[in-house]
Amino acid sequence: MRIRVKLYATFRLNYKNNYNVEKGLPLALPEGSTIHDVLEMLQIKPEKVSLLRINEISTRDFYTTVTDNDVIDIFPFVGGG
Amino acid sequence: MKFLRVDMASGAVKLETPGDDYTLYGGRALIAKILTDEVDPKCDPLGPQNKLVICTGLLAGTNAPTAGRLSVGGKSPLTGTIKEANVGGTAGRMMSRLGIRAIIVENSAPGKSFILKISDGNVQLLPGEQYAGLNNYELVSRLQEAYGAKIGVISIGGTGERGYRNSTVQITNTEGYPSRAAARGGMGAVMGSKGLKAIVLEPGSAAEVAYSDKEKFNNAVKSYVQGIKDHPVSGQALPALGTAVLVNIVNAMGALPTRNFSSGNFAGAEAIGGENMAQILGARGGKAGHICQLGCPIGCSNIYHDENGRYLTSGLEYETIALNGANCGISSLDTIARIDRLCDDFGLDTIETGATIAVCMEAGKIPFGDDKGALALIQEMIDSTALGKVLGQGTAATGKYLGVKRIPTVKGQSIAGYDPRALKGTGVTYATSPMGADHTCGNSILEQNVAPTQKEGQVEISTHLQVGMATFDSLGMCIFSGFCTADPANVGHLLDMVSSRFGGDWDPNKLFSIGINTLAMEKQFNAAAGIGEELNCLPEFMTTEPLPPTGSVFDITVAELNKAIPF
Ligand code: SF4
Repeated sequence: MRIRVKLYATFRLNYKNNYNVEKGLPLALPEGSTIHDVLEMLQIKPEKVSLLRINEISTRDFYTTVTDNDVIDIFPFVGGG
Repeated sequence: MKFLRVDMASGAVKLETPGDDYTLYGGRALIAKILTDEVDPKCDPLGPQNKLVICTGLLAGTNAPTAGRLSVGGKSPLTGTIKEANVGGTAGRMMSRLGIRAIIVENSAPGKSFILKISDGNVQLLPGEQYAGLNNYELVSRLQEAYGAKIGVISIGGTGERGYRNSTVQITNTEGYPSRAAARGGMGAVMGSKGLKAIVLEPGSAAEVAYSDKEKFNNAVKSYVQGIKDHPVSGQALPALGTAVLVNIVNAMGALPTRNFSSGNFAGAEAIGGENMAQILGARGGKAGHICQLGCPIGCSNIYHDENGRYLTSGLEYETIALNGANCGISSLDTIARIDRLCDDFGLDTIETGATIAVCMEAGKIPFGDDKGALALIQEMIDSTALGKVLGQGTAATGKYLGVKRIPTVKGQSIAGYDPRALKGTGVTYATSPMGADHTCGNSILEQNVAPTQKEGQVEISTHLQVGMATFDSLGMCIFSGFCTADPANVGHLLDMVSSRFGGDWDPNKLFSIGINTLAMEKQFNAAAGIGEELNCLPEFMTTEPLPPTGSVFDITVAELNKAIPF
């Protein structure tokens, strides 16, 4: 199964120039993988995530299973303004 | 710390020692107190009875982090309410070093142009006709030629002189550029109505600050700074990416004002977001992580260079990007940076300006997404054309003049960079803040326990935030240094700072009563000015028109809204 992960703010900075803004990070995962597995693969601690979206729908359930071609948005905490 | 009173009618300047009852008033609280004590709430904001108060906060003059913020206030010509516009830059710290807590500008010298020059032990009100009509960048460089590169400057551009109700008071930053704005509510016009063009602060020899326990103070500062650095927002996201880091997430939440608040989602968000801005800054030799004032451990500011690597502007912020970018359908950061430069130079509130341009776009004056047209409209304000003069009176005046029905203002002031339908806590703040629509009075963006489109709980969230922000604005600390107070340990360090500076027992109730008392005084001033709770509402279209993509409407009723800040 292949998915794409879009990272934002400080999460993206870790990838420097290896990050494609339009496509995000392509990931290959075994069937039945969850968001939690995705975070683990990317070494992102769940408590550092402020907003999570699967195909533009936000969710707070880290144990949702992902499916082929999903696009996942992962945001850290940001503020200011 | 002294009060400096300046009578613009007689030219008299006087340094006063404030009474003991003023000791625990600083920043926003001090403005509320002075206006309550001395100004008729019914006065004409641009008449001689209004006063312009420029002051530092309670912890000014100490090494508390970000404690050099400056409050600029008076009765607002834009909203008719009391107003405190909060700003960084160098002037707050310089005022403290000169031993001055507040500058109170009284009466007026219509049509005149004076320079108030303050140095150690010497205050002069000097004729400044040669500076009349100059905009902030040229004005500041001429003042630096005359008085030296190390001065701090508080100034107005052409807008303030002409009484534009969207005009700012600009403050020089650490590089000497007039790029920090006390932006909201038309304080530039109040300064202009007094005949005061600029305040020049010479470096002072550092006035003594008394501590009840200096060692305890220094230790508390150390711990609090660590708290700021350990917080993911103030320690990482803001220094790396500035406030523009918000663009993508607010867009994902469906709350990014787009094409005059008709959508919460903008296709060009990535192009104008903080992540892309960081790349541009790096590639062109600009700077991220820039500090607007000495002693800031965060550094959310930036220096933005143009395509040729030349300085264009500094302090390019989220709100400017949201309102002049997405809300105008504009997806070029360079255009937005140019707008920011023009606004700082001429003295325009970037939030009000972006909202005003979008209203012109909705009226069909120019199409959404028209970069050149947007810049041309700002030029009309600078050139003082017939239309330009209307635009300078703000979004509400422009909308009425052009017959636009969807006008995004509360109490005459434009809504900032979060559509309240998709971020309802901030919406409650827009509706109920004594300042009119102002996100800095209580922005619920970091709230995690209540969904942003949910109705329940938002009044409580906004109340809590409004008290916190009013407290920080009174301490004279940047509100971004306050994110870490979500951890009670850091509230403890803050209490230690205040108690070891002023003495006495401090607990959270006493600390946050500063904010509560401030809000109460402000509400009372507004009520006496004829602006009561019946005006605590958002524009009607936001209560009826579902906002794509969430489809949310603002459904918190006026009766419910009026339960916010019950002080
Ligand atoms: S966090 Fe930003 S706005 Fe606040 S004092 Fe520091 S540089 Fe200035």
